Amino acid sequence: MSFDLATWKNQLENPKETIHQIRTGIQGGAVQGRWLAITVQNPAPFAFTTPSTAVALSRSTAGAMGQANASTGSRYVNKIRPSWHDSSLAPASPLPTVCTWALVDRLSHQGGLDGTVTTAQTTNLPTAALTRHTNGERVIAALEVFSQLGTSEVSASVSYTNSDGTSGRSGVVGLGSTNGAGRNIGRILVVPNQEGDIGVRSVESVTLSGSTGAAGNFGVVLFKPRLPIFAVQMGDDRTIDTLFDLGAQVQALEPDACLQWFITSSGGTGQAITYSVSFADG
Amino acid sequence: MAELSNVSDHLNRRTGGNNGTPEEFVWFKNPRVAGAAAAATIAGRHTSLWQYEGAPSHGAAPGGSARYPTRSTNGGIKQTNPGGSPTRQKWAVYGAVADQIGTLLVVDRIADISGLSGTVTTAQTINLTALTRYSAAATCLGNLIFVEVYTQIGATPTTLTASYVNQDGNNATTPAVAIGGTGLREAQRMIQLPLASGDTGVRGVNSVTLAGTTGTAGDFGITIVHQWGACGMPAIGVPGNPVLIGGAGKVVDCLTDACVSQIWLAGSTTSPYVTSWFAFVEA
Repeated sequence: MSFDLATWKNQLENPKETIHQIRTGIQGGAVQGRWLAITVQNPAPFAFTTPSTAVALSRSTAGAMGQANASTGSRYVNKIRPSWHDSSLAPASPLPTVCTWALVDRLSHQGGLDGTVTTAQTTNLPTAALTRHTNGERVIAALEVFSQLGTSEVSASVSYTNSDGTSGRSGVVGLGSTNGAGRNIGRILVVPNQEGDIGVRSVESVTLSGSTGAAGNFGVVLFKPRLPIFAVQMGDDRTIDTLFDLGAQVQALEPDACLQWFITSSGGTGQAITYSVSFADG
Repeated sequence: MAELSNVSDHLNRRTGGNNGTPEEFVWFKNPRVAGAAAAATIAGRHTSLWQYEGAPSHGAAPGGSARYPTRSTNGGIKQTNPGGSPTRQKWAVYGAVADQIGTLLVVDRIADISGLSGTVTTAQTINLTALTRYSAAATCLGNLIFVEVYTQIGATPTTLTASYVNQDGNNATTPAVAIGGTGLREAQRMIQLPLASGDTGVRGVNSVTLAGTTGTAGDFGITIVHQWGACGMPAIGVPGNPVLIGGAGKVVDCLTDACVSQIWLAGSTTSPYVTSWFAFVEA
């Protein structure tokens, strides 16, 4: 089943489900415009447990948005009402602060990697087998910081299996930093693919070129964007229609998707978001 | 040629109706090339993101032989070709955000070559003339020629001209453009070549000639692209989201085997992290 304009409009007025949530205590302080995952700071009952052993995630995972599966056809996000503020920032003039939001399906994650170890780290690796987008095509790997790392920037070489099933592929990303961009809690550091690759099926190890100066805690997350980016001005409160307001960013969600927001850092230290997300089935 | 008739038709195909076979990608680009920080950008100048590491992956310098990139060439987004009926892939949704101010150009990279020297002052023949897309008199309108630097050339400013094939199939020579020196020599720098008076299209490039040596051979090349569209990002973290259906943008035919890539028109001197997304439907 698919939509036409009439059926879409009907479900805008009568969505199959609407979820309202708040996520507070986001630890920013990172470079403005860099991606954060809101994973470990959420208030109960919406908190993710800090990842440790490798697990595949679903809509039932604590911390996920928790939407129901479609009753018929596929589920789509049709309407969003996002808002955010940062108590550490004063309203700016003339341009207020803007953050960008992206909705991802968090497929698999692990944690317990150490920012001071310079040998190949396999703790809690390889990542758990994907249960959605199982071949890894267009799946993205990132390093996520769960506990602050050190101020020395190092290269993290990530060994992975690509979407063709070829192991031993490698991508390198910077980790650790003096300005928070590579060390602060919540930072998402996308791992680039080796030349020719278009996705990651699993990650097998991570090797740092040096110590960041602090062990901290970081891990690997595999995700696939499902509703890419839109901008929200601080303090704004508006309803976004994914068809008309986001240029038809309409994508079918996989059953059991573990939905999570990635947002860009405000650069402050008191970022919090609230949102309603409505769904249509078609 | 089939078109998307209206918003309802687009929505229908994006949700799988009418054999729309929707396809969506997000493309992350990091400002690193070959494991090291990318060269600084120059405000107001073009920077190639071809070699920027990312997911999907980067591409490499094409080498000293004429190349005609396809959807399978590393560095492109590697979208799926249409399955048969419908026969056209439509580029229908686009947006991007960066941690720097700038404009992202989306292009079909239709021909390239590298291995040219910044010290050779005789004509360097490249014969980049067997385009496989946008190659006819009517379709070559809007093809653009760029110099693309892969390894930094010299600090001595000079000028460059190119012999090219215009829309009528005749040889012509571009006006001279500045090359070499600060801002026009760094790796990933792109320098657009204007066309001769009266010309509107490009069907190939025969050769390039430096008026003088830049002082360092380096490695540069010629890239021919066909621009699809642009996405301006006027502030850090503020995405551009040109609406292609019902908005000011234009739905573009994604030709079979298109090599979709991006060029950054910088607004600062810091190389950017860029996140962009694409959606295609068949019609």
